[in-house]
Amino acid sequence: MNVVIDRRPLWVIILVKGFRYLVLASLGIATYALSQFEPPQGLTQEGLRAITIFALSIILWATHLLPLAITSLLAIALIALMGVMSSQEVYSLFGNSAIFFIMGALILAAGMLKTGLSSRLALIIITLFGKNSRSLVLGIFLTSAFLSFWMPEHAVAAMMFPIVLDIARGLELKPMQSLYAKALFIALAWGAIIGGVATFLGGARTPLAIGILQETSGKGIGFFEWMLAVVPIVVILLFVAYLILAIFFNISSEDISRARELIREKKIELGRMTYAEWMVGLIMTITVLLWMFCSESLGLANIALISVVALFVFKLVTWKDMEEYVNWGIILMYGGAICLGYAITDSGAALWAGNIMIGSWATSSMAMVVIFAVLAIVLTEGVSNTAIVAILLPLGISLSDNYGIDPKLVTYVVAVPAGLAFMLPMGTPPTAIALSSGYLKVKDLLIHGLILKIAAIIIFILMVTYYWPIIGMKVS
Amino acid sequence: MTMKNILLVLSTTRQSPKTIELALERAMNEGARLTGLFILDSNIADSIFEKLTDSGFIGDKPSQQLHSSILLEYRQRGMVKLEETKEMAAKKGVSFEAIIKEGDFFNECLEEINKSKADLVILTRKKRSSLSRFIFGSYVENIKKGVDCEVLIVDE
Repeated sequence: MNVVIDRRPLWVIILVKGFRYLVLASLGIATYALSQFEPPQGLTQEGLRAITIFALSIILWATHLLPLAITSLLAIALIALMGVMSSQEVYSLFGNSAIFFIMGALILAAGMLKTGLSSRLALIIITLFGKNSRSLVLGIFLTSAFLSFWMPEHAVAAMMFPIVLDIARGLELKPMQSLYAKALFIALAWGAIIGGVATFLGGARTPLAIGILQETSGKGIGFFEWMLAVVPIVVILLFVAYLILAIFFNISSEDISRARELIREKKIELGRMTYAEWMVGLIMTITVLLWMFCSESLGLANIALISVVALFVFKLVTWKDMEEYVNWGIILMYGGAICLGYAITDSGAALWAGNIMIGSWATSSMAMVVIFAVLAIVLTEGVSNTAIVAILLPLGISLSDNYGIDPKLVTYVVAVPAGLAFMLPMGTPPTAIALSSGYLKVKDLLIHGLILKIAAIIIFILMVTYYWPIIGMKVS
Repeated sequence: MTMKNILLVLSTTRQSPKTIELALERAMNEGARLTGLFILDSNIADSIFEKLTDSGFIGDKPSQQLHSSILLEYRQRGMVKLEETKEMAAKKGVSFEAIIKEGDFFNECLEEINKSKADLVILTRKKRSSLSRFIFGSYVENIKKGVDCEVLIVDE
């Protein structure tokens, strides 16, 4: 074993090694000190404490000084310890139905991954489209998007990555140089991201938003209701994103016969569809139909949990599979975010902070919608999109009364743009996954992602203005 | 008189054509044996894995599958790079041996330097600011200070 000799000056070593602890200690002291101050006018003592915990969580979520889920746990403990809410109230919020819905959706997605159904679907769709170089990019793009309607977008990106990598390798595309390779990986990432906002299943930030909406306003949004409002936006975004790929990347001149051969070989390797795949497919289809048409009467979480039980009844998955395919940290993250959202809304802190930070800018209800949408779509590039929902939504819901906006509409306005992180790897895993291929430079995502981002915000605002009123969702 | 050993160190993130060219020139001029060591920097794949687990909440199995895919890709690229270097060496009449290792750049590099008893080590230094090097240190500089043989650093 080699001994690493650090040859930097001692003070630099101490500073670098101790910096994290120093920042954490300073944040702890600042949180305590701020919570002891006399609250400003319009804010209660509980409100002031809630807002300091909120600020601390934002800093920790943005800087990753602690893992996201651990920051959520810290928020839960501080809310109870600092007397913002009683321990009983805080921990009971952890039993929110949105959390059980997320749990169920993740287990169902794990079933699709474990049985190989998701890979089979991906190969089928890519084969359908992959007739020439242009349609192969379209195939990868639409496959990622379509699968993200029904599975978490990051799971889709992770599952699609080896397929796209094999295609790029098979076509002998040059890393960092081939425009076609760049288009393939960007199609994979953007498809998953855009598809991920279409339903509750593409990213758990949407169920989180619904959970915060339920806890703070008592209202809910149905599965089909969400799709009705969001899928048309997704379709237009997919079209625009594909146009950007077609215009800026040379996607029509590559000979893809080797890629078609590779996909065919992969399909042969998969063999015939197994019993487990058929059953998971059937359970998933029934579940989605129930979510779409019976969620009001049966409840989203109840449907999800019964479907999970069905997976185990038919021995399609084991608990070991769940441990391997599901990252349970997500449950802690969302439980904490819902508690925090409730605490800052209930204590009046969200309304107070919203008025100070956004109230003076938002001169009309439409202005408020635009501000929240722009904030969400911009901030999501630097901070995890789930954290953005946890940060912005309580503020938006608290302000909605002042502007005569339905809190449900605010939920869409925050949750949809928060999912559209096209430019940087920090916001969402699909871009990080695409970048890790080594075929792309950050610059490629940055420039073309910015173009798509600007288009996305324009499309979103136009749809809010002209499409949503048609389906009964008026801004005011 | 024994033949001089030159060790050319490349890695996932350090593979400048300038360095390869220089190593081949030196080996040719000095009639030395050239060993091309390509280190698959597992830290890069590990950091992606951690990021996906902590922020992306991807389960262990999909993360591991992704990790393996990334490392496999890096390995294949390393092999291609070494193959290219071997062809260039053959054209110049230089004796060339290729080695691929996976792990931490610093540790793997030191281990191979000691094992191969290299007389000269040629490394690429990534483009970074002096301040960043001062605060976070530099593996390449540490290697230079940590070995007895001559070390030639080529800036990217």
